[in-house]
Amino acid sequence: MNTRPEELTDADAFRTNLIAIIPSLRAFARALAGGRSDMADDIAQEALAKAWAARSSFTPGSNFKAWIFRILRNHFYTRSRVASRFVLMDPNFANDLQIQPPTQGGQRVAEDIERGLATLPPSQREALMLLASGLLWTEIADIMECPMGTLKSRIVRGRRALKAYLDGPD
Amino acid sequence: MAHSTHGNNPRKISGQRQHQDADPVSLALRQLWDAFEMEPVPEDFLKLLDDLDNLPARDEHGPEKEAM
Repeated sequence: MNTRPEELTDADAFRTNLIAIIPSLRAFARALAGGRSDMADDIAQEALAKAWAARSSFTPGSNFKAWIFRILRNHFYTRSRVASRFVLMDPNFANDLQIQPPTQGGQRVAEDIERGLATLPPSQREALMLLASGLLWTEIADIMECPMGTLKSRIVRGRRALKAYLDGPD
Repeated sequence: MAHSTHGNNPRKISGQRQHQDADPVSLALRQLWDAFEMEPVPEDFLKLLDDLDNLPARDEHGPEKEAM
């Protein structure tokens, strides 16, 4: 089979974009998976493969990060829905969350907030992390397929819950 | 009537003063995102990229829509 030069060029450019997006893709997968890093890397790799397979649907010049984040997100929820038919929840994961209170001082805020994030509903968790990733509100609403008002509500409620978690009990 | 809401929680006062001029939650989220992104990429990701040419291409119109 002969490959036209322009096709080769497109594939190479797409592959370059894929390589560059891996750290962000893994970060978003971590946010979606709620601390289950092994699952996060699985879905990130699967999303990479899906993005490659669907590369003809990407419009050059459009937002590649938002495009592949949507693929990852859709894949995560499909996979979670299938998994939920067999396993309701991981009891060890829940226990870990319950026995680890927030740490004191500012050095481990990131660790604390990751634990706090894991206690949030997935919709709030992903909204907060997509905002932290530097995406625009409109891009986040597009990725999450929700109205702007819904997105704002998720972010406000998520921030409030995280702040309460970090502050600890009165 | 003005009064303190932090009277019995010294840790809370310290934490709030530490990030007085910034939203501490947003700051911490950004730090967490940066920490995630800075983690080394596992080798199996790179191996996957090497194998991409063996994956079939699909003709789709827009991001994969399998979940919603």
